[in-house]
Amino acid sequence: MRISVYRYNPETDAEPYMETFDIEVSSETMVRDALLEIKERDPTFTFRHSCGEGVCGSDAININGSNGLGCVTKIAELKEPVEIRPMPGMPIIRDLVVDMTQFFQQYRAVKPYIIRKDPVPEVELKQTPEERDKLDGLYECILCGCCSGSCPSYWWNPDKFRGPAALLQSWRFLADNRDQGTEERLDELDGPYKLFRCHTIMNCMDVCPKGLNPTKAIGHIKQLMLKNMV
Amino acid sequence: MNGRGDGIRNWLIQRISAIYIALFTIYIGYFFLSTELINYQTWYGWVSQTINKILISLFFFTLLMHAWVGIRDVVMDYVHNITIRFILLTAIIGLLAAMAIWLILIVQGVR
Ligand code: SF4
Repeated sequence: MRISVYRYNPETDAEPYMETFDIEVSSETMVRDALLEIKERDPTFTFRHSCGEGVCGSDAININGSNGLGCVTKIAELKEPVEIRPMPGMPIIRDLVVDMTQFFQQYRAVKPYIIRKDPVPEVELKQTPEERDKLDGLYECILCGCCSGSCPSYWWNPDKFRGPAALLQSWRFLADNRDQGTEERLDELDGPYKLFRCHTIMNCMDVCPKGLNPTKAIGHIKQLMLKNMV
Repeated sequence: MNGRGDGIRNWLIQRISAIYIALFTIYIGYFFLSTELINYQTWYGWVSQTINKILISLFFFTLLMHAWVGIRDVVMDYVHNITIRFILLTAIIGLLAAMAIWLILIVQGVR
C-alpha cells in the first residue's frame, strides 16, 4: 500500500515535503504499524506513540485529512494513497510531532479537578449510581487532542479559545455532584472567547477516537450558564 | 469587549432573533400563499396594518441584531489585529445603524 508521510526537520529542511513509501499491509495492520515500518527503513522519521491500543492518546495524527489515533486506525480501510500529516493547528516540531503545550495550557485553565468549598471529609465523597452515570462520556477522554486539532475555532484562536477537549473536561467537573466550583468555573468561561468561540462546527465529535461528544458538553455548559443567568 | 455575561448574552440574542426571524418568515409566507391576487395594492394594504408594521419593524430589528452577532463573530475569528478589528467593527455598527434608521423611515412612510 502506498503511504505518503509529511516530513519536516526544521534544522535541515527549508520546506516541509511529502515522502512516499510502499508498505506491505494486512487487514489488521494499523497506521501505527506502518509508521513503525517506515521508521525501520528511515530512522530519521519521527512520530509519537506509546501504548499502541488507543489508551495513551500519544499518536494523534491527521490521516487522509481527518484526525485520529494511528494505533486504532486500520490502514487497509483507508483510501490509497494514504496521506499522513501532523495534526493541524499546532506548531510542528518535526515530522509528525507537534507542540501540544498550548493544548495542555487550555486544559489546565479549566481546573480539571474537584473544587471543594466545604471541608474535605475524612472518608470518600459518595456518589449515587445516577450521579456517577452523569460522568459517562466525559471521564473517558484521553487528551489526545484530535478534537481541538480539528476545530477551526481552535485553529484561529488557540490562545484564547479553550477548545473542545478542555471544555469537555470543564463540563466533566461541572456535572460532578462532588464539585462545588460551579460559579467560579462559569465565571471563568465568561466573555466572547473561552467558550463562545465554539460555533457548533461539530468536527470534534466526528473525530474523537473514544466516541465522546465535546459539542454536546459545550451545549450543556451554555445551558447551565443560561440557567444561572435567569 | 469582555463584559460580564457578554458571551452568553450574544449567544442568546442570536438564538432568540433566529427564532423570531423563522416565525416571521412563516407569517409572511402565509400572507403570500393565502392572498390570491398579489399586487401593489394588496401588498401596501398588508404592510399598512399597524400589527404588520410592528411585526415588520421587529423583524428588521432582530435581523440587524442577528447580523451584528454573526459578523462580529466572523471578525473576531479572522481579524486578529486590534486596530483593524476596531475600525472594521465600528464601520459595521455604523452601517447596520444606518440601515436601521433607513428602515424606520421606510416603515414610517407607509400610511
Ligand atoms: S474528547 Fe476525544 S478527541 Fe478530544 S482529547 Fe478527549 S479523547 Fe481526544
